[in-house]
Amino acid sequence: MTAWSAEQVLALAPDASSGKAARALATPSSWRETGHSAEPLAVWGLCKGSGKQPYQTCVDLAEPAYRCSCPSRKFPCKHALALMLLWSADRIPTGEPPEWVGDWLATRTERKEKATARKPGVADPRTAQRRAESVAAGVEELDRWLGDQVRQGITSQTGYEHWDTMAARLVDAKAPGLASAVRRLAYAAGTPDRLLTELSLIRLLVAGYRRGAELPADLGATVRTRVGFPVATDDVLARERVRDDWAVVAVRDEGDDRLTVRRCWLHGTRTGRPALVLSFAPLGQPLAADLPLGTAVDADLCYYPGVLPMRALVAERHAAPMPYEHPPGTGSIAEALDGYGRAVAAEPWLERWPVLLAGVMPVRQGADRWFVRDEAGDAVPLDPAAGHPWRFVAAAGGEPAAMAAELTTSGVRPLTVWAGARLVLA
Amino acid sequence: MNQWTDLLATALVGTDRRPGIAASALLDRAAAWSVYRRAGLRPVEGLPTPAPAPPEHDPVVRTAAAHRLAILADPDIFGDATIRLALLAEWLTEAARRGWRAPPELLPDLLDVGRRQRELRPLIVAAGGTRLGWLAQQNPEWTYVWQIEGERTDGDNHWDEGTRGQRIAHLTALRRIDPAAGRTLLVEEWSALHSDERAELLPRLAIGLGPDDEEFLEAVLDDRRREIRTVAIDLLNTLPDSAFNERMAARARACITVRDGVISVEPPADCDPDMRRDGVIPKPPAGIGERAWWLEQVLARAPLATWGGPGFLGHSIEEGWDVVVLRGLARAASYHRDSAWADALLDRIDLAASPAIVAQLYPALGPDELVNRAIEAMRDETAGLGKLIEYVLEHCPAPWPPELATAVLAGLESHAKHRRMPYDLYRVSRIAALRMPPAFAAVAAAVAQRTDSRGIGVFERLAEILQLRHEMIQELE
Repeated sequence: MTAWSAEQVLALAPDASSGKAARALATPSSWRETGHSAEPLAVWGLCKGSGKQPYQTCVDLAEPAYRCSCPSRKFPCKHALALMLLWSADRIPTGEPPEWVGDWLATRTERKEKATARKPGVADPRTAQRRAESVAAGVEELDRWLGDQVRQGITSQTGYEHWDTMAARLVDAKAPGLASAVRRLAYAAGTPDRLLTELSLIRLLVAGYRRGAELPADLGATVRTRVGFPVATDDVLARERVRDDWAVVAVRDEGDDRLTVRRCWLHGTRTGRPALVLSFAPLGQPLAADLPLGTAVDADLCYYPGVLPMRALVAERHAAPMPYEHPPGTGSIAEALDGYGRAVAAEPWLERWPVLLAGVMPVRQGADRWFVRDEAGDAVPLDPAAGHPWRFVAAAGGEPAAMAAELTTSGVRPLTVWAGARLVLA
Repeated sequence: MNQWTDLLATALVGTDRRPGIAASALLDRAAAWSVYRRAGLRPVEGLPTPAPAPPEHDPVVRTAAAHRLAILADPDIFGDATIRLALLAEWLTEAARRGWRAPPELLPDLLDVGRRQRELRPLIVAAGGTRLGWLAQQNPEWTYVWQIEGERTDGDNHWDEGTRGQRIAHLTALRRIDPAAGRTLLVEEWSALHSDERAELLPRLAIGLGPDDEEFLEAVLDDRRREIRTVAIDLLNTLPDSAFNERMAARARACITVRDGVISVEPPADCDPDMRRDGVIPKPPAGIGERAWWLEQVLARAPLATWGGPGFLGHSIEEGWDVVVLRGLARAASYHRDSAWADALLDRIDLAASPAIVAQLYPALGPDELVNRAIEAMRDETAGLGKLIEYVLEHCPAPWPPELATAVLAGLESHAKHRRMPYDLYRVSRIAALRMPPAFAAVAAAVAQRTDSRGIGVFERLAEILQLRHEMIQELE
C-alpha cells in the first residue's frame, strides 16, 4: 500500500493543536524501534516521552485505529499522528510486528466480531407519541408567530432576543431543527430579501409537517429530519447498502463553544453519488478520524432517509483506504449549478451542496469580491464568509485547478484544491 | 401581488398596514418564489481570465521539508518565537542555496510572517519562486516583496506610478546600474517629496555612493528633519574625501594634540551653527559635560585616518579624558566597521566599565578576530558568562568554526559544573543552539548525558535544537 500523504494524516487530527504537536514530533530522533508491515497493515514505534518508559505507539492502518501508552485523552494522540507522518514521509522501515503490537491487533479483531453480533434495541411507542404531540403544538405556535412577523412587518423586530425566545420554545417543544432555523433568522435579519426567503421556507416546512401523511415517504422523512426528529443509527444501518469506492474529497471541522462537527464529503467513484459522513465530539475531545482526505475506501454506505440522500453512515468497509491521484467526478460550473438547481427543487431547505469542479481558478473583482471561474468562462461567487482564498490562489498560480467545495446560498466555499500534483486544504 | 418584489414590499410594512393578502398566503407565495430563485442560480459570465503566474525555474522541496516549513511558519507550534524564526531563516536560506523553492500553498503564510519580520523578507523572496511576486501583487499587505524583488530585477518603471515600496525598489535597482541617473531622479523630485518618503529614499544612495553625490548630500544637511540630516551625515561620513570629513577632521585636530607621547585634549569651546549643521547635538545627555559631549561627537565623525593607524592608541591620554576620547574613537570605528581600530580599542577599553561601547565594537571586528575573542572569553573560567560573551557570540558568523563550537561547549559544561549563573548558561546555550554546526548535536547530547541534573535541561535543549537543524538540512539535501 502506498503511504498516505501528510495532509491525509493530519486530517485525522482531533484538533489543530494535536496536528501541530504531531508535526513537531515527526522527526526520526524522537523515535526508536519503528517499523511497518503490510500484513497486518500496521505501523509502530517507541516514542520518548516525559517519563522514563518510552510510549508504545501503534496504528492499525486498515481502519485506521490507534493505540498509545501515553496518558493523552486525545484520539488519535500526537504520537500516533507523528508516527503516521513519519510513515508518510517514508522514514519507517518494514519489519515484523513485535509482540505488543501483535497482541493488540488480535484483541481488536476479537472485539470487532463481538460488536457485529450485538442486537439493536426497540424504542417505546408511547415516547414517540408524546413527542409527536409536543412537536405538533410547537409547529402550530410557530405558524402563528410566522404570521405575526408578516402582519407587523418583517423588519419591525431586531435583536437576537426576539428570535431566541421563539427558538427556545421550539426546543422545549422537541423540535430542535425548527429551533435552529428560527435562530438563524437573526443572521438574515439585516437583509429583508433574505429574511423573507428564510421565513417563507420555514412556513413551507410547517406546511409540509402538517401534511406529513400525504407526502411521499422520502419527502416526509426530509421534513421530519428538518423539524428535528432524530433518526436512530440502527434504523439507518438497516437501510439499503450502497457499495462503492468512496473518495474522501473534503474534510472540514466546524464547531461552536461546545461541540465540534467533522464533515467528511465523499464521492462515489462508480455511482457518482455524493455522501456526507458527520462525526461529533465535545470541544477538545477526539473526532472520528477514519476517513482520510485524499483516499478512497471500498465500503458500504447507508443513507439517512430523505428526498435528497446525502448524509450517510459507513456500514462496512471492505478494504483499507487507498490514496487516489485525481479527484473523481469533477465537472463544469454550469453542470454543478444545474445539479444544485435540481437538488434545491427536491429539497428546498438545502443549505450546502457538494460540488466537484474541474479547471477552475479564483478571480477577484474589486477589493474583496471573489469568484471561481471555469474554462468555459462561467463563474460563481465565493461565499464571503470564506474570506480571501489566498491558499487557493497561491497553490493554483493562475492555472486551472480541480476543487471540492460546498455551494451555499451565498456562494461557494472552497474546501480542497488539487493544483497539479498537490492536494491543498483551501 | 404575485411578484417577489410586491410580496417583499408588503412583508416589509406588514399586512396589517397593507391589507389585500393574508399573512400565511403571502408566506406561501414567497416560499414558491424562494425555491424558484434559489434553484435558478445561474453562472456569472464575462469575468476576465486572471494572469497566470510566471513559469518557475526551481523545483518544490520534497514532502518532509515542506512539512518542516509548515511547522516553522506557524506561530502556534513552537513556544519559543526567537528559536522558531531563527530556524525559519535557516530553512529559507538553505533551501534557496540548494536551488529549492517553498511549496506554493505556504506562500501566504510566509508572506504574513514577513509583514512583521523584516529581516526574513529577502529570505522569503529568495525561496518563494517566481510565484511569490505574482502573489504579493494581489494583496496590498504584501507589497514589501516588490521592494526586495525590484532590487534584484530592473524592469518596469515603477517610479512614476508605483507604490512607495516599488519606488524604493526602482531607485535601488537604478542606483546599482547607473548611480547618476538614480541621483538625478531623486534630486528632481526632492523638493516635492513628503518628508516620510525622503527618509525612506535617501538611504538608498548608499548603493553606488560616489563623489558626485556629495553636492546633493551637502544640501540635504539643511533639511528640516533630523532623521534625514542624519542619513546625509552617515553618507557623507563614508565618502573618504568629502568636505564634511575635512571639516570634522579639522575640528578634531584642533582638540587633540600629541605631546611627548601623551594625547592632550582641548575640547571645543562652544557648539557653533556650523557644527550643529554637521550634526553635532548641543545638549548633552544626563551625566556628561557639554564640552566633553561635543568632543565625543566630533571624534565619532572625524575620519580615523586623521590619527594615522590604530598605533595612535599606544599613547596615553591626558588624565580625565580617556573615557571620552576612547568612546568617540569607538563610535568612529563602529560606523566605519574598521576591524583594526576595533581590535585595538577592545584591548584598550575596560570591558566591564563600558559595556555599551564594547558591544558597538564587536560587529566591527573581522570574523577571525571575533572568533578568537570568543574562544578566549569562553576559556576564561574566572570571568563568568556575561552579556559581553553574548555580544561576541552573536556576531560570530554562523556556522561557527569547530574550534569555537568546541570551546563554547566546554565552557558551558565547566560553568554548569561550577553551578554559576544558570540564566547566563541558558542564554548562551540558546545562541549556540542556532549557530553551531548541527553536526555537534551528538557532542551536545553526550554532554547532557554526563551533566548533573542542574544543567541537564540546558544541554538537552541544545542537543535537541541541533538535532532538529541537522534533520532539517538533511531534508533539503
